Amino acid sequence: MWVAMSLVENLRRDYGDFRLEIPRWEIPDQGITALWGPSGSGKTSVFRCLIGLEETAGMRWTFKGEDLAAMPAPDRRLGVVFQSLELFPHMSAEENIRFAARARGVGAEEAKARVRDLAAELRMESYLKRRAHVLSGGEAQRVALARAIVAQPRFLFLDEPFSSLDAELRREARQTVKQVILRRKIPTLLITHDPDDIQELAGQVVKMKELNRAYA
Amino acid sequence: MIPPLFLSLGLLNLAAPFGAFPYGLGAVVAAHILLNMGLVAVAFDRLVHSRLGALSETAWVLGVKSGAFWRRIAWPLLRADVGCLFLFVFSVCFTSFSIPLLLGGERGVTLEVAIHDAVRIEGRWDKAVLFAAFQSLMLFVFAWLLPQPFWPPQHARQGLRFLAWPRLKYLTLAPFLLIALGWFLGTVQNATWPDGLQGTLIPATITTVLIAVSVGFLHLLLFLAIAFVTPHARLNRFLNGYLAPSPVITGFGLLLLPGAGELIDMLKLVAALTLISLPLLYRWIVHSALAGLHGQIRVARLLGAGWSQLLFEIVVPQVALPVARAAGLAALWACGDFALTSILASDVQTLPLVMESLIGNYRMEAAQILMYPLMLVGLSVYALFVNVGRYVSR
Repeated sequence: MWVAMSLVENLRRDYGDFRLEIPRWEIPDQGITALWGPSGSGKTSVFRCLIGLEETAGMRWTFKGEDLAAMPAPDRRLGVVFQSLELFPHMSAEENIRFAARARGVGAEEAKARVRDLAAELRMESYLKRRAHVLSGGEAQRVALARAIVAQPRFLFLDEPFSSLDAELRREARQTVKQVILRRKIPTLLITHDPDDIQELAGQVVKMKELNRAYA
Repeated sequence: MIPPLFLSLGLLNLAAPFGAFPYGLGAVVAAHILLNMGLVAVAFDRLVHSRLGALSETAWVLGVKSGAFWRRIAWPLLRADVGCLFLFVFSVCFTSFSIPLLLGGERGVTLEVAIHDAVRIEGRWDKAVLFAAFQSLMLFVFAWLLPQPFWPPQHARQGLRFLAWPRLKYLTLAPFLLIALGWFLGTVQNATWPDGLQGTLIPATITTVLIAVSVGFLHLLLFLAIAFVTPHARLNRFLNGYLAPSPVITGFGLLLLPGAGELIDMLKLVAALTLISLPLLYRWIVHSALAGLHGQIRVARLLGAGWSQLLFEIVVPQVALPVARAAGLAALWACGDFALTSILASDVQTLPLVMESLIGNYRMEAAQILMYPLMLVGLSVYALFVNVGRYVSR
C-alpha cells in the first residue's frame, strides 16, 4: 500500500560533545512512528529540532507541500506531550484543554463539543473540573494528550509519555492513546526507549543509531 | 528586611537607657548585622534545602554522623554558595547609605557618606566623582565574582531533622524582637506628640503614601514586563548579575538630569527607589516564581497561544501574588526612605524626612511617636499590593 510521507532533510546540529546529522528522513503521514534509542542517543534533540525548540539552519521538513521547518514553532500546528506533561497547574483539566483550543482559534461552542468528545473517549469526565496539580499521573497524562490533540494538529509528538506511570497504568494508557490517535488519524512520532511502547504502539520503528549519520 | 529608619530608631531607643546615643562605627555595624540577618536566614534556608535536603535524608538513613556529614558533605557543597552570600551581603552593606547617615556620627563615615558630604557640604564634585568611580569599580568586581545561579530557587521542603536543631529557627526573629523591644522602651519611657508639626503631618503622610504606591506600582509594571518576555536568557543573566547601584550615586546621577519642580523631583525619587530595590527583589522573589513557568510557556507557545493568552491566562495568574508581594515590599521600604528623598526631593515633606530631622535634633521622643503612623502607612501599602495580587491570581 502506498503511504504518504513527510520528508525531513538536512537536520544537522552540533552540540559540541554530540552531533546530529540526518540528511534525509521520511516519516509516514499516518499511524504511529516510533523513534527508538537508548538514553543519551539524541532522541530528544531530534524531537526538539522538529518541533522548533532548537535552531536548525538549513533544515527542511516538507509536509503536504509545506515546509514546516521554515515556520516558527507555534505556526507549525503540532501537538506535543512532553515527558514532564507541563499541565498548567492553576487551571482545571477542562481549562487546560480549552486553552489549547482557544489558542488555535477554535470557537467556544466547537471547543465545548470537542472537550465533551475527548472526555468521553479518554474517560476523563469525573475529573474534568479538578485542578491540574491534584490530578494523578494517569489522569494528568490523559489531559496532556487531550490538550495536544483538541485543535487537530498536523502532527503529534509524544516524548516518553508513559515513563512516569506504573506498569499497570502504562499498559492501559498505551491502549487508550493508540485508539484515540488511530481513530482521529493524527500522524504521530513517539520518542521512546521502552521496547514495550514499540511493541504495543508503533507501526514503524526508526532507530537512532541508523538515523543519525554522525554515528557512522 | 526592616526599613533602616525603623531599625535605627529601635536601636537608638535600646541604647538610650544606658547613656549616650549609639553613634559611630559600632552602631553602623550592629545595625547592618540586624538588618541583614533575616535576608541571610532566608537565603541560607533555601540553600540548605535545595543543596542538602535529599542528601541529608539519605545520609541519616545510612547512619552517617552529623559532624561527618557537615564536614565531608555539607561544607564542600555549600562553601561556594556561602562565599557568594557573604559577597552579596557585603555589597549590600557597601552601598548602604541611610544607616551610616543616621548612625555614623563623626567617626563612622563610609564611602557613601563621604560622596554625599563631598557634594552637599563641600561642593566638591571632583572628589565625589573619584570616590564614586572607585565604588562603582568595586561593585563591578562583586557583580563579576557572583555566579548566575547564586540565589537558589525555592525548593520542595525536605526533612532536615538530621541536620538541624529546628528550635533554632526562632533565632531569626531575634533582630525583630530586639528592635520591637527598642520601640516599646522608647514609647513607654518618653514618647510625646511633636508640638508645632500638626500642619505638616497630614501632607507628609499623603506624600509618603503617594511615593510608596508609585514605587510599588513601578515595580509591578517592570516585573510584569520581565515576566512577559520570560524565558529570556540574556535578560535573566543581566538581572541576576546586576547589583543595585549605590543610592548616593543613583541620587546625584538623577539629580543631574534636566527638569525641576516638585512633580519632577518626585518622579526622579520614584525612579531612584526602584533602581535600588528592584535587583534584590528580583533575585529574592520574582526569579524563582518565573523559573517555574518556563516549561508551561514553552508548551503554550507550541500550542499556538498568542501573547495576550499567554500573559493573562498563564503568566499573570501564577506570578501575580509573588510579584505583588515584591512590589509591596518595595513600597514598604520606600515608606521608610529619607536618604534618597533628602538628595532628590528635599523640598518634599515626607514622614521619614520629618522623623530624620527630629532625630537629628535629638527629639527622639517625638520621632518615636511618628514611627507608628509611618509603620501603619507602610504595612497598609504592603497589604494593599498583596491583596491586589491575591485577587488577580484568583
